[in-house]
Amino acid sequence: MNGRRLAECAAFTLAVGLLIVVTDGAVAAQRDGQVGARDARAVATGTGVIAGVVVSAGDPSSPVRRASVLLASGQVAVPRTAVTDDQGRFAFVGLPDGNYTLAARKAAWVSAVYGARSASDSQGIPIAVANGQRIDGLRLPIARGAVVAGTVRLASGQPAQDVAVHVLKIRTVDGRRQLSTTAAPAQTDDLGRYRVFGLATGEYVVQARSQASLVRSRVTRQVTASEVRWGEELLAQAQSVSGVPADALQVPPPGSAVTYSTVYFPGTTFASDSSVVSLRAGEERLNVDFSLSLVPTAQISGTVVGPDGAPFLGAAIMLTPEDGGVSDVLSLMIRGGRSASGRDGTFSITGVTPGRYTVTARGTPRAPDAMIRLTPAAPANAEMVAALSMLGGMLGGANTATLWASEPIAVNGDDLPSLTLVLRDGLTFEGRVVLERGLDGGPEGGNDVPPNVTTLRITLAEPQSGDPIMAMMGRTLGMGTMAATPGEDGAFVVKGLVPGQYAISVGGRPMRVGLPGMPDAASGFVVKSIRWNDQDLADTGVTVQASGAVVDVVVTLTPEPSELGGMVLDASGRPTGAFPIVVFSDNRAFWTPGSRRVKQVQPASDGRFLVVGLPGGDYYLAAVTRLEPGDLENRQFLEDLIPAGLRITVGDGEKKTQDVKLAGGR
Amino acid sequence: MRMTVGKLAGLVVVWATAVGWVLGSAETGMVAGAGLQRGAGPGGGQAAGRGRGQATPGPGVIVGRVVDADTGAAVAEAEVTLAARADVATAPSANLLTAADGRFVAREVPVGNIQVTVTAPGYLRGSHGQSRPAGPSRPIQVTDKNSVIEATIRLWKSAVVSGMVTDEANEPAIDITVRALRQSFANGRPLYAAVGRGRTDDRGIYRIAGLAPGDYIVAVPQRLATVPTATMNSMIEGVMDAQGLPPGAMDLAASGMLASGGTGVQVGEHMVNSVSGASPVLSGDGRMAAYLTQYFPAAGTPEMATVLMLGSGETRAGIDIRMPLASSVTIRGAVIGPEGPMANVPVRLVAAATTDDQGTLSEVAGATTAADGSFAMYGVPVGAYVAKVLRIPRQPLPAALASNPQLQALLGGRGGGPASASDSLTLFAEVPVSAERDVADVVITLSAGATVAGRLEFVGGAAPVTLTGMNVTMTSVDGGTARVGNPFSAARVDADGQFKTAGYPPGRYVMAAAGRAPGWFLKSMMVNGVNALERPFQLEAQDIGNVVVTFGDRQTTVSGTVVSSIGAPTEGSVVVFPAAYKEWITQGMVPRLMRNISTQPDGNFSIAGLLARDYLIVALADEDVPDVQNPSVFDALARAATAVTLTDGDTRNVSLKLKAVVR
Repeated sequence: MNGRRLAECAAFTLAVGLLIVVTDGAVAAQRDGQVGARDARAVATGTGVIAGVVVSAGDPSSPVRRASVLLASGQVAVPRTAVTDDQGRFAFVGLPDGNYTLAARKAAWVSAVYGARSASDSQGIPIAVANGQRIDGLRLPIARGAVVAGTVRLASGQPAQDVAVHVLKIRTVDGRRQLSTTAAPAQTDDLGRYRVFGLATGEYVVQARSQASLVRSRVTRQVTASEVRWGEELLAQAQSVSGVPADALQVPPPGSAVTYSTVYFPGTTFASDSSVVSLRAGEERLNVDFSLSLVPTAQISGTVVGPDGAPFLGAAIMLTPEDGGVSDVLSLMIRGGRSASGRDGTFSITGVTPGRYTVTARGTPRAPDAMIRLTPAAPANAEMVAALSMLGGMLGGANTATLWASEPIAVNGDDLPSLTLVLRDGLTFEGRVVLERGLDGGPEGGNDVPPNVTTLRITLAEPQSGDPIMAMMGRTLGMGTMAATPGEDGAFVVKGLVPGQYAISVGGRPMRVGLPGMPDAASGFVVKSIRWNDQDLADTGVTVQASGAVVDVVVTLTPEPSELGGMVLDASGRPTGAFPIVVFSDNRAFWTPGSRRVKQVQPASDGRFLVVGLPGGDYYLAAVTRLEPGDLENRQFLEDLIPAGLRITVGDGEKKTQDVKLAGGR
Repeated sequence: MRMTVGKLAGLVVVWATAVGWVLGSAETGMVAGAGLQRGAGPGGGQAAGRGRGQATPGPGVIVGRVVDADTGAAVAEAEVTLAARADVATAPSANLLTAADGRFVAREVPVGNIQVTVTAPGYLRGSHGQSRPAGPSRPIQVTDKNSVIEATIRLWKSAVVSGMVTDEANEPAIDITVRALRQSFANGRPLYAAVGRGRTDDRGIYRIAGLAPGDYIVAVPQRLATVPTATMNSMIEGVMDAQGLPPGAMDLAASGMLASGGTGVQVGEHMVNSVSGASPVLSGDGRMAAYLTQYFPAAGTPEMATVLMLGSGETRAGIDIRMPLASSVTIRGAVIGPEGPMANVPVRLVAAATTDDQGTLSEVAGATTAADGSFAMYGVPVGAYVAKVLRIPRQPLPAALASNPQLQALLGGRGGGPASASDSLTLFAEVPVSAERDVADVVITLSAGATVAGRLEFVGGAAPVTLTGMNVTMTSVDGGTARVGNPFSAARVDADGQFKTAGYPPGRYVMAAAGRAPGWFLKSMMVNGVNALERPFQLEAQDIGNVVVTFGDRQTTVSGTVVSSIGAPTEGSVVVFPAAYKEWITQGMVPRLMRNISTQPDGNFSIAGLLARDYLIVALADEDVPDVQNPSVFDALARAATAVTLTDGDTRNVSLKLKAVVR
């Protein structure tokens, strides 16, 4: 393995690892539904007990042995884990009081959360435990997963070995089909066979992608029949004394550069044309067989030029498919990471499959020079520069690359040999962060700045649409995301913006900023408003124009966020934790993805719920039987809730109590 | 779930790996760019050619065919890689997919020795010139006069092992790693090299393909690692709050103890992670039962395992293994360094009696120390062990990297270099532990390794060399911890020709010196009267000084031609080894005194740079070359061999007849 391959592997696994964390983080944040969680998670021990048994779902059910049980809450940083015994039993002791989420998982089974109403319900019912309380006899049912198995072949009919087969779940969000990974992919064996297990009930598409197409820097050419004929004639000549000279033979064109495209069952390269595989609980679907196909690939090469017109070393170059294919974007991003130019600023990306793309280059001013000095002997370590930038970008939650260039291209199998990407200085978004009481006439420059302001991150993120995996990857890699940390005086400058529409978030955790549905929380403060020219950008986001910077933005934090709390009571007046609560603005203009005026919360088993940080305004409050991921971004879903909704008004900073009584029905 | 521990652990591992890559590459200068030049081998993933330094089209055309070695059938859609050896500046860039009749045509091939390798599903990787599976290969010689070349590459089918893994209740064990270990030798010692792995599916069934013919044992390894919960917490906080990795995170990541599949069990203040195999089972009374590493068919040690002799293309089904569950004990103790108790130190527990030199399967458990230097190691099967610690010195970062803000962020602002005096020492300990029941108070007191220092001398008339470009390496010839790779970096030579190695644990070592020194040849490295080039020296706790490394300007050469029984030149392999080979074997088969090379197609060969002394030399057909790491083959080789005495500055010419060696 040489350095190049290592870099690719490291960057790829790294990205995937981070992807997982961020995904989990998003879910966790939604569940926490509260701010300042970090402080509350200081180590605590108590005397509470949660115990129960994991059983197989269905009737009759039987104990499930050797299942892992995870217990999580805002009170413990690392989830506690246990393994069930031969009778399916588990127990957690020494718990401080709090609300706990309990989940069971076992290989080949479908993980389930306690109180889940459906297989896709990842929230379930949190269990409220008071100190000293013993909650025993919990039943946590889990179901055996369904199986998809089959054989993947090469175009020639031979078995395709070491091909990754993903079974992707279909979700429909706001009328659009999205694909997401829910089970670990399988590798085909030497007979081309694969077996993906542990799948939940639902609709899926099955995707095969050759490992070769993932991390590949060599071009592969298909040998043609005319080449073989030509070669055989050459041989015959070389062996005969009186043959015609080689020059007399017509030299055939070389075979085209090819790669194995990603293929969806039953044999299409487009996810939209794939067959839907519907799986029932525990079903074993065999003979899901299909073949890989060879597609022509092109090489894209060119030069990156800095704002000063000089060749630029160490820009990270990324290819983004316009239609946002689920998978190919991964490999192309990695390729982008390593394609960044020698000293002459040239770059080259091989193996690009047909389609429309945007080529984006991002560069960090000056950093490459420092890196070059590091290893004078090396001819060009642009890849290392790019890798470092990427690693740093991921950790910091944003890129340090403030130079950018972007170019749309169409690829049809022919090489694009001479692209020129001219880096331009990015635009800025500037302003200051203040605490609300400072605005109310407090001493200027005194405590109007939040005490821990330098731990905040102001993040601008381009809207991430289309495929959720791609969107998550983009965010994880800091693509389309720029951030800044305020100084001691609260002033901040977000640099490197490309013209376009951005969502703004303010957070204390760089790894987590910019995720939809996350509270804009910073150690106990919430964002009250982001004012600019009489607009509140916290609701609308900001449109950065090529004509100039956005300046004099005032981000106002409040130490006293509003709280909307209460209890959910069933038809007979008993508290129930079985129904998620949705709170959403009565103004449809605020029904945008990630809106701070559209929230969900899961009541605990004692029926209590709390929504923190709603801006002042009029809302609907509704309890629903179940909530699927993406429901809150579905306008029709909210529209349907209005008739059953409870109309309430929440004032800025108000602590409001509103119980919800269920009358049956929704 | 906030996040599962396993996922976090995986993240930290990949993260630290990536950081390690960046650091490592910066330190050694082996950056990706440099890798481009090295990566001429198959699978090297080298530059795509046209973008950078385009190769001049060569005159060569290789008209080839890929066939099944056993049936002669064409192999279509096989991937052919051409790579040049060092005598050609740029390799041909494109891989080729064979046509339906297994044919391929490589064009514009440069003059030189071209390595042709082929991969195809179900087959072992094959190379031109191989006459047996995984045997020696031979490049294709492209010259201006011989530019159209016909070539046939034979592929051998790989062998397959499959079976089912069950747990103690005869239920399928799901998502469990199974390893195929090949019996082989290294420096005369038998070892089991883990060459294949499979994973069980939801039916407990696994399949390991891609195995070369040979003798194998199959195992389901089990290894647990106990990590303080506080350490896991600090890692989560470090990642989530961008404070960077906590101190010791790199050591932990490198130890592999965090690499759990998310299957851990929490016991008090500790997480017990399954690094390999299945999670331990905690019963209601707090006792922990752990699964034991098991070899097919039902053996606890490699010696008791059934050896499977696999031929090319053979599929051996029914290799079923049941994972035994046994009660376990807990070992507690502390690690004491030169400055007192040491935090974040990985401790490994290795079976006391083992022939598994790689330590891959004999390591049954591990732990890392908490902030106060204490450790607890759960899930240890009853048995006799050695607790091992080996901590290599932390290298200071190059100045340019140390000030890089992104790297600073990754490393939590500490720059990765030594933070205290003991960070720059090699610290080690090996403490026997008899674990018949719970053991408390195992005190592991770390010792500092001994250093070896000396100077380089150049005796002769060749041009002076840049001394600071030279370095000295030291390699253990013993089994055990120091043998797992070589974690130590080379010692650099200063401008005065002086060097000093890092500290090493006691043991037997050989040395070597390398660097850019045109016209100079390494003659001897005298350590306490022993030439460490040709036999190991013993390192104890005391530092060694006054090592003299001598370079001369003349070397030995033995060259000649291999001929068949009727006297016609023929290709083959040549093995040369010391005349006093029995002594050489007992001294650890120092590689420098033995060579095994393939001749040119015309039977010519030339071997330069052997140390001046008496040797035996023998020519064999490629398919007859034995495993020259196996000491038992040399008696037979010696019977067929010719004696040759090599002296510096002289070229000895020999004509060798191909011999049939009876083993």
